[in-house]
Amino acid sequence: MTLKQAIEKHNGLKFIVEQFNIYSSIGRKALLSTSYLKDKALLSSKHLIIEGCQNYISEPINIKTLSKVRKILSYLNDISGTLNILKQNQILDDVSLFEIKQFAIACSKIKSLIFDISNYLPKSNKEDLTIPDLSNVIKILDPEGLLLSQFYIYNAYSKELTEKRKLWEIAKKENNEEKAFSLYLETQELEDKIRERLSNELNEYVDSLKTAIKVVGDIDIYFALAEYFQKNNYIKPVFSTTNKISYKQLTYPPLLHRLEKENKHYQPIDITLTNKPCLVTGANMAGKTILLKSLWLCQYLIQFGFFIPAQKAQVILVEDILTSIGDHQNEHEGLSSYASEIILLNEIIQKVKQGKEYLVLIDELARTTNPTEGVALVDSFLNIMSNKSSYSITTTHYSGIKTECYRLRVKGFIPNKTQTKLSLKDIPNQIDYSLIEDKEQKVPNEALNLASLLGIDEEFIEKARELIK
Amino acid sequence: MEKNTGKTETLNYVLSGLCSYNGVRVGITSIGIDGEKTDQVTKTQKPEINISKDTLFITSEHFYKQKEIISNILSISKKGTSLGRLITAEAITQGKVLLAGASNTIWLKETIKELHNYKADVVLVDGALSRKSFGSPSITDAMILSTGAALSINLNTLVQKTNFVYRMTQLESIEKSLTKKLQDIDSGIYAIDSNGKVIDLDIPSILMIEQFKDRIFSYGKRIFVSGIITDRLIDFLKVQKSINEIEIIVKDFTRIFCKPENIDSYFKKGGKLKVVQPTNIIAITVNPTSPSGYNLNSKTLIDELKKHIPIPIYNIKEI
Repeated sequence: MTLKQAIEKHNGLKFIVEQFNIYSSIGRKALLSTSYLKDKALLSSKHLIIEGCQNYISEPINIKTLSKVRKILSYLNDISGTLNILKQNQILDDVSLFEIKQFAIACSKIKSLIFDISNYLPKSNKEDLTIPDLSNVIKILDPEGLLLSQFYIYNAYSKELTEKRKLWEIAKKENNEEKAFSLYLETQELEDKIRERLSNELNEYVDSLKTAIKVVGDIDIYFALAEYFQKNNYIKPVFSTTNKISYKQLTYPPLLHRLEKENKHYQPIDITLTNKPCLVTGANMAGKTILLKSLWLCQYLIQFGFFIPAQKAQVILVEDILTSIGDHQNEHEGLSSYASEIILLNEIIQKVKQGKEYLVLIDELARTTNPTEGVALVDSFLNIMSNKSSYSITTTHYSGIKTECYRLRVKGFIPNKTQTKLSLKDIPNQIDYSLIEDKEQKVPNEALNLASLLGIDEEFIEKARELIK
Repeated sequence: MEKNTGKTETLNYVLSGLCSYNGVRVGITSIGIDGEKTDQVTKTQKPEINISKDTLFITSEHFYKQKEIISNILSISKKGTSLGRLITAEAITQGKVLLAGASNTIWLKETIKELHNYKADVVLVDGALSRKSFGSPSITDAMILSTGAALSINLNTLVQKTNFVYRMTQLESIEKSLTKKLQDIDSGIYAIDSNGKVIDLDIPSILMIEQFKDRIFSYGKRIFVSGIITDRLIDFLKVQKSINEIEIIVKDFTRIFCKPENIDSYFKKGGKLKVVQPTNIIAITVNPTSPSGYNLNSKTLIDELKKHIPIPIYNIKEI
């Protein structure tokens, strides 16, 4: 899986990735093709590079350097296509030669600007952000040694061409069109020969140029990540040595962003999980779905080598993230929500049964069918998850789930505050989103409280209250 | 005004004039794809643009390869046209190039800025009124109009059509305070009330004017149409009782797609038409030869035009 595919699945991830300040098209392309990784060592080295870049930009003098680098990055063209043409032994035209020259000069400028970056990187990755030496490429395309981002077939390439060009100029001045045209054709022939020679000479440097593209993309990406994570207080996740996942003060950035804009309070969450199935209960609007989405988002961030929006985190790596969140009606055309959900659930069960470690996130399992069978389905699902190495979190509104599992409850409505009528947008302020461990099988009855707070028809609610008693 | 009215020849003439001034750096580009060696519609020979040493030019990758000049590539655009990306280059010798340029107004503005960044003192844009969507007046400081037998081989019709375009370039422009409010609006139809407030009439298209008859004058009789105006709108306005109070505002004269007689009868009934961006038309050039080979008398043509149009009118080939 690539980051590009992942952001299609999770809009919270998309929200974050869109805020990275990537300056080059090379960087953008490389970022989106970042792979989902399961290798701790690879991820750790990514973390170290991000930290190295954070240390680099924490020095004020380097901030100026970075903005110079970024200015260069922003006009950098991706020359991968041109290099492929070159590799096939084709002859490049002036535009392509210009692009290679411009690229090589830009790379050498970046290289000299951040010449000391390797001092900030870990030993094992010391040279990861060092652009290969392209001075020979520049030499080939800059026979006059002007170091300008410009190109044409210079007179310096050939005495014969210089002479022919002079004659052509004279013929033009004399208005001898016929002669001028034939001299023009002769110069073209000579220019083509030079283009062939230059293409052959450049062929030798295709690999260095390709490496340069990769490194330049990495420079762009790592500085963007370093800056973003620093600014938004993201932390480096620590890989758990046991089977325990734990987050302290975990946030969901898109929601945080929205609430901050509305000048509202946001409550981060603490949660600890093992591969014992976890069942989460809590009132409507208490943030159960956001909890699942946060865990999903963080797992993505972790496996793409990013930092995460929490204060402390111990994490594990999983094969994949399997989710059933939201309305399923669209996923399998023509099927009811229930049928779609159960088919999706089956796919998840089959994968989990194969024994690999997954993160399984199920929102309100079997909510679209009758409660009796619904409860049975939840119980049975938790049972299946019990003896597996996957990590699962299931949310439910159902009481009476008997399977032995780790039970968490969102605290829900803050007493005292629930006296007055509320408008829909005030409700988040009345809810304590923190999770507490729950020993009981009974779920809180807060649906009626919530309805009455929302000013729903009194008779309707009172009748329901009586019936419960 | 039309293909084969001598636009490219005019451009070459202006270029050669500019280049005789020492120390003036000229930049040149075009609107969209133009400068085909052979005109693709009529298959007649079309002159390439002849530029002198040090002139900056912008063209497409495709045309760049066909140049007959030694030139230095300075930059390549990120966006592309149907003929490839745009190349900004500098002429090292004098010679011929084919021009192509940005395919929309915003991009065209950027390319003009780019030429200025490379120290061009004067930028020429090879435009075309047939591609009317590019409101050239908002981009360029001055305009030369090329007309000729390609537009009509009937002298009277030619003079009438040319005069109409000229008159449209001379439409009164609105007050400055309003210009600022209207110049960046790109869609919709608006009323301007007596306090100069701009109110969106929420009419999706001028073509649907009949369905929204009741709404159009609900805030007064000054209406700004951000897109084009057609005969249909004029026909609708002409039957209004209070026509002499009506004032239609368009972005610039290139947005007017109406028959001359229709506009004239609208004016006669008292209707007003104003522009946000006035056009500074500095000269008209004529090409008395039509693509099919028909020749009008050059002197008669110029004399006839001069009866109506008070700006310089030339036949480039006779200067």
